[in-house]
Amino acid sequence: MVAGERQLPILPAARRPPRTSRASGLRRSLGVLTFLLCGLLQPWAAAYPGDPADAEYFGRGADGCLMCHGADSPHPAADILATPHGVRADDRTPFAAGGLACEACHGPSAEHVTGRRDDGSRPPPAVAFRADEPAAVREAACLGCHERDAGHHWQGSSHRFAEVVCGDCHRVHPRQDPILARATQSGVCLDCHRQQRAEFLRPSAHPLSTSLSASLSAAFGRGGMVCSDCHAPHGSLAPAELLRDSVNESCTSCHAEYRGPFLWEHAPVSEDCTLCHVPHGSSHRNLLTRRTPWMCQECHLAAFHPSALESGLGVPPQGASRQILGRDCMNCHVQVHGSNHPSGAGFIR
Amino acid sequence: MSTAASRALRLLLTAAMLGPATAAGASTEGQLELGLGYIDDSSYRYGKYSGLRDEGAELIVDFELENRPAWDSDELAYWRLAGQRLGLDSRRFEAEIGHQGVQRLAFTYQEIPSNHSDDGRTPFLRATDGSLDLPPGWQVAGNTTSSMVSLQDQLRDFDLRQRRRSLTLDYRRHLGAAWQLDGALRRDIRDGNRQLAGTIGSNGGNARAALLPTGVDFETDDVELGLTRHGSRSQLGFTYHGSFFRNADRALNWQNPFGPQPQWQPAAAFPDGRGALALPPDNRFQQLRGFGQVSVATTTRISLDVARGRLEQDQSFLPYTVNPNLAAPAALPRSSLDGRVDTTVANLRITARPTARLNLVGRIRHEERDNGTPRDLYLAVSGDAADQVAMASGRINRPYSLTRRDASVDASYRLPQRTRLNVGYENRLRQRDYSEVNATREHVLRAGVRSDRLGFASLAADYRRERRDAGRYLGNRPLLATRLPGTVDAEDFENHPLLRKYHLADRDRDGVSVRADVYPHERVHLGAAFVWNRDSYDDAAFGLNESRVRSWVIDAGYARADTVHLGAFYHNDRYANEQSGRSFTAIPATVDDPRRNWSVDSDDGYHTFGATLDLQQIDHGVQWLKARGLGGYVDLGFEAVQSRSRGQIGVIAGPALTGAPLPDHSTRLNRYRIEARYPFSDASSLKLAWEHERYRSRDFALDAVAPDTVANVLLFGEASPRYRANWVTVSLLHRFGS
Repeated sequence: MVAGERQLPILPAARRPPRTSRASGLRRSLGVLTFLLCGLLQPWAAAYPGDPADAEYFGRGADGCLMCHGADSPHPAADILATPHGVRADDRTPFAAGGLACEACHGPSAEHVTGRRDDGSRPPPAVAFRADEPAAVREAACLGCHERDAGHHWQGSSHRFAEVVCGDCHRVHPRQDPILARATQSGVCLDCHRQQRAEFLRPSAHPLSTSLSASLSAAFGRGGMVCSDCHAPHGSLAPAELLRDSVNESCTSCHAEYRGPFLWEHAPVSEDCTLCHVPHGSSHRNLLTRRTPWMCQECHLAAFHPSALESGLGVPPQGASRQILGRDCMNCHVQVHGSNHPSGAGFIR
Repeated sequence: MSTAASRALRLLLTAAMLGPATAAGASTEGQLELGLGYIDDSSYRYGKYSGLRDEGAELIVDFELENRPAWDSDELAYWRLAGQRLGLDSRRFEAEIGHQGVQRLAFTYQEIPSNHSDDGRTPFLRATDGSLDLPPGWQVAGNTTSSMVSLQDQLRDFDLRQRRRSLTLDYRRHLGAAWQLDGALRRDIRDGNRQLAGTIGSNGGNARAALLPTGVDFETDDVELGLTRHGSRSQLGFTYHGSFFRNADRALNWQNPFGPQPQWQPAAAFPDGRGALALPPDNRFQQLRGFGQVSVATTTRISLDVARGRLEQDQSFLPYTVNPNLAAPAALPRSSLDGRVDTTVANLRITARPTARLNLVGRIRHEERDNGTPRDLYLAVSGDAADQVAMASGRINRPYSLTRRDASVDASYRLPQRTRLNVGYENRLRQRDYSEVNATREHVLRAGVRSDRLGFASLAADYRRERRDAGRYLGNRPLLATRLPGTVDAEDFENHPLLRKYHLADRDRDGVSVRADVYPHERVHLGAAFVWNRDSYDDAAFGLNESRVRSWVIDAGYARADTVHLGAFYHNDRYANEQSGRSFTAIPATVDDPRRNWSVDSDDGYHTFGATLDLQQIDHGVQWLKARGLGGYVDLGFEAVQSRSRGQIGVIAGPALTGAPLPDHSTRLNRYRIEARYPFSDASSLKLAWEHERYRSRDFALDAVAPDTVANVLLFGEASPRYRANWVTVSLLHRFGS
């Protein structure tokens, strides 16, 4: 994906461990066009051997599960009772009176509790949220209750289109889901979005609150921003899954002084901030895409100094050009985001 | 430390007082961290966003307290208090209270510092009204910085830094099973100072400028209200968003430090000459939105989202000039802009999953910025240095409107052997006012494949092809639109006629990306990725001719249960741009002289390396501690980062021009972090943390450039940043509750 006019090297997000989908063969493809025409009316059926329809519920609440999945277990789960999922008085939760407790998400798992395989191991629960289970099955376990929380943009979002499922980012058993805590959220996002991870380490970057290592404490954090301040991980209808409707609306939600409208508008400012700025990190001041004044000269080539060749002759000891030293063009044209001064057509007022 | 510490303690006490009474059957759990940190050197850049700016000790205060009902109680009430970095200038405090599934109210306070420099020097003094005056005894013998006789003696140091404080109140209430009410209020306050520049001069040839440290006093209020209905197969909602920006300062007024210039009116020079520029005006944006979604059959969803907004700005204009000795007989055409931009955003999206293998997404987006700001002729007083321009030189403002229309369809199909194909097409239309090109249309094709077929490896490859057609490029259309009809000829131009602004030009874009992840063992991950992009423009035109991006990355990870995590990555990114131009003057022959052509190749390279190691529950082997029941293990975390950038700019001058190579500009960041936690009881731990950061940079625009190096610009004389800092903390952590 390319953000804005400037190209950015958007690396494919890192892949999760390989899925060994056991989905049996459905009907053969009749081609994209056929699906486009007919697919809307075609019901979806998850053909998954672990389909809950084939299994029985244990049905004795959480006690049977937590006997084995206590704090010292390789798969601890008891802390879920200290989270919003574990509130009996809330009818919507798995642990509500009469609820299915763990099996509300893990599916009918009587065989997991009582059965043994030939080698003595337990068969897994119906839905173990392993990477080799179909994405649709893992997603359905969450969306059955969280459709509204995920937002009405989840269907069609970039994450869903890439078959990223809820459990790839969220953790429900610990007391604190790392992606919901500001101190750890960005680390979760950047674990897959590795190009952005490198960009945030550049000299000019937004103040992301994260350490590369999940175990390092928030005291090392560099400030108050997290990915979800700008992006909607569950999808949006804006470019790059932004929270606001457009790039400019996103930027001016914090930089409202540039919103205008100004008497003298700078056309690219009104159009798209990414014409001059990158969102995550740059080696140029103020997250500029390129070094100025050459970036400015891509669009400004008027007589005299705007079209002049700026070279090493303007740098000490050979010279001292006002177009190169200091803030170069912005030594004078400081109102580059727009001017509201009646004499400010040249953006110096 | 005293201010920060007292502020932190106040917040902590506030938190304790805000904590509501514990509900029956509920328990309070959480963690408190108290300690001291020490930073061994002062660096504005090290503390740019963290608040660790000054050498010395800082208080470490972090806490989180949560009261939730016991899982098997009949209570729904809960509350939560949290504070992070309370002893630092990057503190954050959160409080939340609610009844789960019924309502919640959350309050957040956050500070974000932003330091920009600490070694700037300026002669200007801020007066009580905010204007910038020269110090008593200022002497200037001419019209250049070298003629500022008293400059060196009257320079003073100053810091450029800002602080952002945000207060947020969020409320949500579930109104029955279907309806949900959301409300949010946010106040964002920014204060401090920033860099602006004041220019005096009637044209580009006689302009004299001075960088100015300018106060910042911004405030933005945001209001959001939303009502949503969630049905079993549909969703419907309405929202209101209002954002109101206020700037306490209307103008920046400064005294001209330069002496007389022959092309200026005498009164424009020191000591009487003053300049004024307009600071960002108050503005407000309000928007109403309606959205809906309906499920058709089991697998298809249709979403529609329509938002209408209005952006307004009507702050009183400053006069044409602040200098009363300049003639400005023509009055302003209006006293304020009455600026108004109507915005419309409409999105239609259809998603379908007709089979478990096929995923389809179709989108149509219409975005319009309809700028209804009135157009008028303004007769400037150029740079507060000359009398008002004549009618023929007046400028008409250009309120830009813009329309975007995008349509796309993407399909993802899963082949039998754990392989997925993606294809997509997108069509983009852009229409602009007062622009060199009325409309651009872009076609985008994309295709990709992902495969987990090998079981021990994942492979992904994507290709992207874009073609933009810009139509007829009329380079002087903006000029004609800003001048009175008849005052310029149809052939007149500002920018060179051969210039093609890159975002308005024909363009071919190609992009390829490949990624491979290999899992030779269940505990080991190896990954590599490569990205290549190229934008090609018309070689015969001036402006940006080509840009290329090439990136590759390798990463590796090792994990053993939850006790050992090892990770490392290396990124290599290169951004290359080729642009060209022609240096010309008012002499017509220079416009068509190819001997005055120039080209610039810029190349920005980045090397980024990172490594992390997490070791949990490591046996420390100290029998003395174990014998006393003081815990037998420690947790360790380590992180290393190296980030380097180097920018190279190559210039080629035509035969009629002279040029010389430019120095490279570079940055280099080394960072090491290590943290050890020693749990000496079930509830308490001792934490030691150390961060070492070293940063070096070279920038020819700053290094060895004094305030008076440039003859016609008075600079700050800052150097490119360079520091070495160590931040050490010792703290105690205590857990409450179970």
